[in-house]
Amino acid sequence: MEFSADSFVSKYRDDQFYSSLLVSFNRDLENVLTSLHHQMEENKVQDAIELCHKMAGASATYGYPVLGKLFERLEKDLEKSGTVDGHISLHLKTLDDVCNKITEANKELVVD
Amino acid sequence: MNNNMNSGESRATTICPPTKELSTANILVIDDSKHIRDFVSAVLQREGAAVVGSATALEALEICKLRPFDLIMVDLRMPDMDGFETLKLLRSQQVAAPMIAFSAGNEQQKHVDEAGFAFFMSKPVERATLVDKIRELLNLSTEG
Repeated sequence: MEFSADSFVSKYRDDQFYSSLLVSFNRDLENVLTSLHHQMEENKVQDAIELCHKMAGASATYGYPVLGKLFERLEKDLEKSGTVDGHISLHLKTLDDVCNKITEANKELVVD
Repeated sequence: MNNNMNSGESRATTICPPTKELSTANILVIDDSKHIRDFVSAVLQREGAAVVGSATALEALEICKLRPFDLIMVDLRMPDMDGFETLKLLRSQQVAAPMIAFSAGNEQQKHVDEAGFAFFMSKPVERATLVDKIRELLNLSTEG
C-alpha cells in the first residue's frame, strides 16, 4: 500500500501549539505498536479493538488522518473477524510501516 | 440552531452553575486516551480554564463527589463504562453541569440527544471548534 509523504507528517507540525503534544504522541507510537502486537499474539481481540479505537480518534486529532483511518480499519476488521487472521496481520504490518515512517519523518521534532 | 443546540441551551439555562468566561471555568475531561486528555487540557488551559482529566468513568464519579465542575466532557466509548451510563450515574450523584459527548464515530447522534448531552463532538476534535462550542455553551449558561 502506497502513501504520500504528507501522510507521515502531522498537518499541525508547524503550529507551535502542538509541538510538545506531537512529541509526546510520536514517542508513544512505538509503545502502542508493541502493545498491539502483544494483544494480537495473545489473541486479546477486545483489548486490541479498544486500543485501535482510542488511537483512531487520537491520531486524527493530532493531525494524522491516514494513521487514524488505518487504526479505524483495523478496529472494524477485528470486530468483524473476532480473531487474528492473515488479513489482520497484514493490516498490522501496514500500521507498523506507517508508524515507522512517522517516527522517521519526525525525528527532528523537539520541544522548545 | 439545530436540535442538538436546543438541547444544550435548555439544559444549560436550567441546571448549569453560572460561568461568565472560559477563563474562569472548571472543566472535567473524561477520556481513556491520554492523548485526547492532554490535547483538550492544553487547548482549554490556554484559554484560562482549569481542567481536570480522568482516564476512567469510575474515577470521574469519585472526582465529582469532591468538587463541582462547570462543564464535563465525556468520551462515549471507554473500557470501564460508556458515556451514556457515565452521564446517568453523574446525574444520579446530583452533578448538574452540562456535558459534552465526544467520540470517534458520529453514529450515536440520536442517542446523544436523547440522553441529555448538550453537544456531540466527533473526533478528530478541532481546536477552534472545541473552544467555540464550549464558549457557546458556557455563555448560554449565563442567560436567563
